[in-house]
Amino acid sequence: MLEFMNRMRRTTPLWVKIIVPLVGLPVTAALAFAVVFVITAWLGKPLPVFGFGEGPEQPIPFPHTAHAGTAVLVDTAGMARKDAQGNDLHGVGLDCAFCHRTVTQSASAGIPAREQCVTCHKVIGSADKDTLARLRELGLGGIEGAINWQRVHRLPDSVRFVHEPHIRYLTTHPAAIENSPDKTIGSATSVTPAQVCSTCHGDIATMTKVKQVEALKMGQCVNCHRDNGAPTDCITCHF
Amino acid sequence: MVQPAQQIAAHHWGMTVDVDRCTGCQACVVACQAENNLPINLEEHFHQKRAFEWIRVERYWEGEFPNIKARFIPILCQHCENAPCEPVCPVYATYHNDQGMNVQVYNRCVGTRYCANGCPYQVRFFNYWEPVWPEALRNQLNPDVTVRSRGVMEKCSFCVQRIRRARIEAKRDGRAVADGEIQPACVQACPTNTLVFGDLNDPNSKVSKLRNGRRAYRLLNDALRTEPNVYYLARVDNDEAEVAHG
Amino acid sequence: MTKRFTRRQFVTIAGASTTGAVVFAACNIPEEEFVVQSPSSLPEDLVRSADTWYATTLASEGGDSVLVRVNEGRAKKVAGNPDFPINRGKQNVRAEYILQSMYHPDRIATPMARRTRGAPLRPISWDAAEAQLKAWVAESGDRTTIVTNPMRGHAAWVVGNFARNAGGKHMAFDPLDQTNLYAAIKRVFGQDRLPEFDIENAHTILSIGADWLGTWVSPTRFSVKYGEFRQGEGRTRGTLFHAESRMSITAAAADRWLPVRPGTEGELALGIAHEIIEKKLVPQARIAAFEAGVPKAVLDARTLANVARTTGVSADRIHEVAEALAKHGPSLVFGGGSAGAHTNGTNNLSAIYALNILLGSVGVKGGVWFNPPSPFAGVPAASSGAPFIEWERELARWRAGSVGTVIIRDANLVYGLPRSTDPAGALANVEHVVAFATVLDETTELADLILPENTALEDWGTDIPEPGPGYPAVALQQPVVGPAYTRDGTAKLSDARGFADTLLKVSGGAAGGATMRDVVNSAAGGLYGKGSGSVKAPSASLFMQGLLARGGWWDVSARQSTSAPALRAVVKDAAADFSQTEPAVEGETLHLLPFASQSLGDGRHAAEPWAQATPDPLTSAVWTTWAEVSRETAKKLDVRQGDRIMVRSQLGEIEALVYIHPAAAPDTISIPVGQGHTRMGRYAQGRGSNVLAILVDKKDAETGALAWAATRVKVWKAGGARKIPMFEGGAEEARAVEPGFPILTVRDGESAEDAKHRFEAGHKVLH
Repeated sequence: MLEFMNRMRRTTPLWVKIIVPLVGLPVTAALAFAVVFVITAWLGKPLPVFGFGEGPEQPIPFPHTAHAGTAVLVDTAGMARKDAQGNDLHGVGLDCAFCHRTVTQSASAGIPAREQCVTCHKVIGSADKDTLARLRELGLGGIEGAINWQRVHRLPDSVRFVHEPHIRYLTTHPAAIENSPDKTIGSATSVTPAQVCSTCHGDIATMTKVKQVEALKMGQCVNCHRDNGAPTDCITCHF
Repeated sequence: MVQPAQQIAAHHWGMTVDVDRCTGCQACVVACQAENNLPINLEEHFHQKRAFEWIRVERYWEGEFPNIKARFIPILCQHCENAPCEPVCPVYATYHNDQGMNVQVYNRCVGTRYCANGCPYQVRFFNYWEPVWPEALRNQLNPDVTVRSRGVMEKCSFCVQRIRRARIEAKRDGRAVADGEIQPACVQACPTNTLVFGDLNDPNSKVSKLRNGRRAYRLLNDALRTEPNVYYLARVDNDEAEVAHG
Repeated sequence: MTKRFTRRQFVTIAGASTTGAVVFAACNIPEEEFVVQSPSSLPEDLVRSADTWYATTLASEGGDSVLVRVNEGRAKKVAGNPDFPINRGKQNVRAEYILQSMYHPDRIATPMARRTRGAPLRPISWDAAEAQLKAWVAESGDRTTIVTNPMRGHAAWVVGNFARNAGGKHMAFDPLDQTNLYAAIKRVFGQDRLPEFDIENAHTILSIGADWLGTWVSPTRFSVKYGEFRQGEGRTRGTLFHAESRMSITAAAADRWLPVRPGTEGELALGIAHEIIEKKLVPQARIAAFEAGVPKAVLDARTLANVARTTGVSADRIHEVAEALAKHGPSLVFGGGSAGAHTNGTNNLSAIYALNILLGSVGVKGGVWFNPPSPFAGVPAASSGAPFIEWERELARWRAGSVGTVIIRDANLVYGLPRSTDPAGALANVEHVVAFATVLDETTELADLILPENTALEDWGTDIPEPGPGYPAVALQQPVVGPAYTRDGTAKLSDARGFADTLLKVSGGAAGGATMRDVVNSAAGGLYGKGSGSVKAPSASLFMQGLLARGGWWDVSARQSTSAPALRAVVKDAAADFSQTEPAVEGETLHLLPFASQSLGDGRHAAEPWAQATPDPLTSAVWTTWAEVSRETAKKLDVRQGDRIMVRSQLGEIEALVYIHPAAAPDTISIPVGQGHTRMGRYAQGRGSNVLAILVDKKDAETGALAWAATRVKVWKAGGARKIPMFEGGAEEARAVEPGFPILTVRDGESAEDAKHRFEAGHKVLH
């Protein structure tokens, strides 16, 4: 082995020794990139490495833990946040449909207008927080400007998803619900709309930053449709 | 647990076009463009014969001045039962569904254009360009309908988004879709009520009654047996003797 | 990544590698349509993404009420309001264009002003603009003129009040002057408002000159009625005769089209009357009633042979029409459009409408019904433009420098008035010119102060449909969306405000209220006070909500009583000229027939790309100006389809492309109005020619209305050719869909199968 390497050193011209690493490095990087790309595509969502799977940065950080969750809130260091009296702070546990109001009525679940945020945040939340200050400014200072929320869950082109019938079906057929934090939900007798979201969105209430949990690929849609006797005609979704 | 298959009302959508009412006013054409995110037809698109109209109004001349007549006939996808466009598609991007509709699946389409060549009614259009709108005009785009990208075929869908919506709402309310509840954009707009849309499986629907009328016929059906789901009601004209045909 | 990465682009890239099918889902695509906007004036918008349908009116021709679909604070679709008695859930081809007008990429963004005449425009604040306007109006006082489109409803009332308070005047501009129509209605029926035509219950209709299915007065409503007239349930199919010099879509819809020689429409009407009287087809009492208004001497000269000679309509046809009208009632006769656009226009139209007296068609089912006055005191229910003669006088005042401030809104004088009046030159001598506009046009760009105006979807107001349905009706206008923003959500597309609202603000409320919303609210209060009609509510505020929900108010119980008036001097002058056909100048051999475009109207829709791309129903031409000439004329001029020709009148010349029209009369050339804009945004600018620019300034002898169909032109080959952009395939006519039968027609009662066999028997060769 050593001898072979010595012979290499002797016989390989200098320019090859320089060119090979120069070309090889980018090629290797490109290959690695392509592989990651393919795996990502196969999974239907970004790889959970280097923070890629963490979901996009939002213009105003919106912790679903604080809004939808009920667990104790933690700060960046992992310590429980306390109120003025020293009690642990819990999430307020809002129903999903409190903000995503049209989820039980129409195609899109709906993003609340910033006025709705301000309705609560006029009084809730400490004034020194930059984001809340900005929100108040936006919500109360006339109608200039909009919050450019980044979409987390996006279906491929030419797919039309209507929330309302899905919520309606799952609330009446809890056995079809997946990913619910409540393991007994399949046999529950009464289910609220907010309890079925997890089927596609995962347990949002535990996410500080929302990320995509399910691949949301067509196979998933079709499997569920077939299992539940829903139509599998192409134009059910593609138009 | 697997749920039993839900009972889906067996609809069979169809349309009647009463040519005797049509004035050729083009209201259907513009309503369709607004509803279905059709790209703006620029001047050069007309020159290249690549302008889009899912529904168009054709005009034919009969006779000579002064005894000349202009005849209008709206032409849209006929949603044929024996559609010539369907068997030629190599990727099954167009097929006939169980509700009498000829369906175009944009995701599957690879743009061979065989279907357009096969269609005797010339109602299929190919996206030769990426559709563009100035930013401001994009505000109008209908969120319920895909903006088709370059390289796919498109055609009249009977405003499937409206059918879907009506059926979802009917199911939510636990009732059947009422006759006349679904109106494709052209049908809704048509000021003379030339166009009627409905369920051909329902013998009491307006469209069923009209297509069983004496004036009903189907375009090219005698020659090609395409069995369209769009029925035309012939224009009435008692003037045959004076107007030269041919 | 700001650029939208589409599926197609992706497949293109992915196709280069072998991983295409797999990689498809891996792109994280930012959603562009996701800027959540906050028009906070609409409480419903707190909840996003559910559709909301608002009822409003577009303040367009006829006064249709529409529903507008709003999603995420954006207007998506316009549809007729099914509740409203005028258009009954239907719309015309032009309704949808308002969306592109509102989201027009060239909408004026902010108020703009010039330091001096000719200096460049620079943006100013609304406060400064309003202060400027106020100062100018105060300075000018009675030397103020407000120029608008023909307006109705409370916006018109506010404009009128504003002008009156300032001591100035309000003038409405309609390039295709309809003054004669109103004059004839007044003369024959004694009415100030257009009557309602009961088309759906008529059996035989004769319409003359008016393209009522396309562009005339209230096409949506007329089309709804026409559908019933043809194939309504429980009635026999009606028969339509249409006399017009050009084949319009109404002519195409008619059972018989009578291509009458331009200017002789009244002659035709009198010829029909003569035939009915001579053959005693109607009771003597009606003949007497008719003859009370039409001197015997006038009638006697209109024998079948004479009339056939002057009008170019054969004697057989005239007899056929006369007989059908008299024998197969209920009959209805009406006219307008080009029939009234001659120097004898009022006489023409009077003779036409007087036929209803002879046929006993006033106040009967299937006849003419009068309309009640406006339900609001002082609010106009009729919207005629000022006659041309008044424009000549007014522009002379401007030119003389005796007008201080001119406020212009939606009235394109420079584009629409005959060149002899030189509107641009006249405006140059006005001290201050203020314009309200959505997109800059030829007139507004001359202004010193330009204010971005709301579209109809962003304003409060009312409209009183014209003609009314025979009983009082009001359409309500409300803003359906807030301002639209640029995609990053930082700026409005247009910082527009309402025209009437601005006038109210500048007047300090003296023009009728603080805002249009207040004006509309108090108008609603007035209707509530009547205690009748389509909206019943226990309180005024609930009543207002009901009005907004239904799109308006109407009271079927208050039908206007209608009875045949005693005719007096329908034809004022026994020697009245009904046949102005001789050329005044050597070489002007063709009669120029300008016509309102089905899509562009009188040019006001030229800015919207949908309008530009809507095929003309008969030629399928788009995006340009064409000239319709007969084959015979084309041969004489030695031109072919698409050849450039010059069209010259005594007041100018334009270029157009030849369209060889199988239904054009040999001595006419028809050119659509609407193109030839030098301004008006990217879609209209520099496209085609403006036929209004060559109209001569002839006027109706009595009313002074512009005789816009009375121009004669010289036409010659200009050299060169260009393909006319058309939807139809090639230069040939459209290919028949049904081989052998261009369009299958059946006889009354015949089945489609039988008709096919009949055709096959008669035509062995199918092609």
